Amino acid sequence: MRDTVRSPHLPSVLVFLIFVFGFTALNLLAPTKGVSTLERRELAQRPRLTVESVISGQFMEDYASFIRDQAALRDELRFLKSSVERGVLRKVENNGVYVVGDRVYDKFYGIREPLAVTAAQRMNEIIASIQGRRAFLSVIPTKAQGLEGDGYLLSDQGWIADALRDTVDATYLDLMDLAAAGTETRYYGADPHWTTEGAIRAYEIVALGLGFAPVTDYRFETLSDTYVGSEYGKAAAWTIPLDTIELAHNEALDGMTVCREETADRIVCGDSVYVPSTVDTVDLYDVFLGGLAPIIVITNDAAPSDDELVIFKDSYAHAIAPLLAQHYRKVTLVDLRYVQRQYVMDHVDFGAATVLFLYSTSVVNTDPRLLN
Amino acid sequence: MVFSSLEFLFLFLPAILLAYFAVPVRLRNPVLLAGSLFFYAWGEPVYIVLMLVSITVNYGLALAIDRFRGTPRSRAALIGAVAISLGLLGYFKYAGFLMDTINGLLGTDFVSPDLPLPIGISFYTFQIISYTVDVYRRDVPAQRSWVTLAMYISLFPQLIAGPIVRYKTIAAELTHRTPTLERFAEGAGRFTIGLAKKVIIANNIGLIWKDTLLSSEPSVLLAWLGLTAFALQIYFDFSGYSDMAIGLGRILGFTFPENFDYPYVSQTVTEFWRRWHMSLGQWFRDYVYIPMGGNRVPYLAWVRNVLVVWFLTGLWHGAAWNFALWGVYFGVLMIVEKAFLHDLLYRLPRMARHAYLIFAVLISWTLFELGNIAQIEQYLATMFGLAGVPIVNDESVYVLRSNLVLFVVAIGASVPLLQAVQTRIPDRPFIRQAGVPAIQAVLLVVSYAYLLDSTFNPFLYFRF
Repeated sequence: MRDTVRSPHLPSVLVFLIFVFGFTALNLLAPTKGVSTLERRELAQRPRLTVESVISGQFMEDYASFIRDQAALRDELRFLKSSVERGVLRKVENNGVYVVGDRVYDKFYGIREPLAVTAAQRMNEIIASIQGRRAFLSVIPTKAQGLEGDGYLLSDQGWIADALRDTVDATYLDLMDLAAAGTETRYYGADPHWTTEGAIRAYEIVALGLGFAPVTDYRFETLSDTYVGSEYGKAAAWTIPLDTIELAHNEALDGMTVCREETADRIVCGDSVYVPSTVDTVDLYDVFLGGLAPIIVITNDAAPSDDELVIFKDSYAHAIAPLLAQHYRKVTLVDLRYVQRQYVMDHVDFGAATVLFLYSTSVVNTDPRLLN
Repeated sequence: MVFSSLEFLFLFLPAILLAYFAVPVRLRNPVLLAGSLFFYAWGEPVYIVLMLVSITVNYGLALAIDRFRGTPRSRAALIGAVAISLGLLGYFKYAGFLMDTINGLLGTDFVSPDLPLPIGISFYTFQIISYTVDVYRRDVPAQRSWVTLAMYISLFPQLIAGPIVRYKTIAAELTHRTPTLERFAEGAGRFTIGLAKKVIIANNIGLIWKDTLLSSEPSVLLAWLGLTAFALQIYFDFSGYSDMAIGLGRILGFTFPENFDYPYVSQTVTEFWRRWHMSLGQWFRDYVYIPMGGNRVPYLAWVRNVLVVWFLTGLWHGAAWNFALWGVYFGVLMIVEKAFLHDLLYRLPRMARHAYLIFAVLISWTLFELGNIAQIEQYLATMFGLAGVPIVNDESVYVLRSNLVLFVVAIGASVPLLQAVQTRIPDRPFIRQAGVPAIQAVLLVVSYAYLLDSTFNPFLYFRF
């Protein structure tokens, strides 16, 4: 026994055993969590053991996900990995995002030309099928467009904007300067979306293009100063400050109602463009119109006219659509990623509505669901 | 289940260590067998039956070889054992390839069986063959205990990706082994190094190769960087696994053979293969090459022997023609080296010999990793500036700059640099008792952190 205690090999053995048994005990004792706030996702739960799931191998796969998601100190260890990547290996990216100062930028690299070309074709098909309506197009840059320095691998998002501008049969409203250097407050620090300030700046450009004098009178409410953006979890650099979400208010905005057509049979209506009940969800950005849904209709009974607007869009539109709704009695938002185009053409009343295609470069470049 | 998975580290490993060291010595083999079967069934819940059948049949045939020794029945039992083992391997691994080849050559329409490859079948089949052949050759007595033989074949540290531990290598330890604190410490250290090699280096540098293949803006520099990254990935992946296997074996009281000896420091292809996947090379030497006559035959017969062995080595890695081509490529290089290249190379400076070896091996990895001839041609054309792509572009500069430290670390760790440094560090108790465990702790925790923040990364050699 005395020999064992004095053995020069004991420290190595102890380190190994403490690692294996220590983390095993921590993992066993850690309470099972439902969601990860920092990663903004539901965590895998303990799988049910059945003969079928074992024979098919599904149980083992699910268990691997469970143990990884529920590992004790998961957030701390992810931070350690991120720190080693940046501090020791001197990498500028982690999990596909760049950490620059106290901000996180998407690695927008690789233009998928066929996706942009096909997206333009689909937009033209929609425009052709609703002939006579005014059609507009705006392309939203991601904040990486304004990232300066030669240490980052980035593609020129202007290519996508130019390709759509040159081929889509719509009036182009240029938003590409929105992410120019020195305009950081227009985007969240660790989330790809624009801030309310950025959305208002975009709204001013789009409203002018649509023929309206932009409204400039707002008061602002801070919804949260601990907003965990989606890029925050990818970067796993917990020293980056959390973002602040502000909501714009005025009489017109506060008087609007919103109906969300979540499925063909389920329409949920509310009396605000902001849905504070989503404060408890993993994505605070869902406060804007209640988050993604196939079709969302904003009604503004106090609108100065009976004009209507239909926006084919992605998630960026949720912060700008209420601002545009100040000029329209009804704004319909269509997300072709979650609804078939034919359904929209059959069920949405385009009437004399103006049509706006409002897409971010990242969605055009990566999401083929726009092409349905 | 792979060693670099959380379910292995924090479910299986603590359980098997507790059980193994808690039970009386006589129960350790049954515990190891049960644990190994659980380990295998976790990844292969159906084909475990195949392995058990194979073990049982070979157990019986080896006893028959022993019992009927000196009679034709003994030889028949050996032939039966080898035929059954190769038959199962052939059916599950090569039937589809064979059908596709026949259909391609003859224009026939045979349906190829679409069978998933049982994990580790290439490894455990070779171990089983080594056992029955060694029994026939009287190198070892037949194992009377089914549990002991089954434990040897299914022993989880080396079951699914080697090293190919021949029966006679650990025959004595199967029944008498003494785990000690020193062995445990050595094994734990070796396991830690292997885990770090796999998780921190191989998985990380493998991303460069993956991105290279997906790149929409190829360049000459990127092609070279990508292939270099793959060369390092496969080395750290496979040697890392071997380190973990050897380390686990050591903890349990076994001494497994080494599988890698810094292959990238080699100066010829012949030397490279004495340092790369050594247990496979030794198996082919002892069970194919030497029985065919080895080099004690006329020159042309020797050339045939070399080409056959390397053709089979290639096919062992995968049931596809690119693997066969990869094997024959090395066979041809060895023949050329023996004919004149070796002497020529040794008139050149040492660096030139290294450059030759690295170049030859890098080219071989295109044959190994790229699925078809068109892809291989395209990649080689890109590497040599014949594909009309720029020599350097933004992406290649970014990849180099962003991964420079990783490349330096990986290349440094692929040569015996640390060994050289280690020999210069004075062997003081403080260093051994504090420095080494501290490094070990850092590597373990950082590896765990990388595991948590990554998706599933199976070992490359799993597919064999």
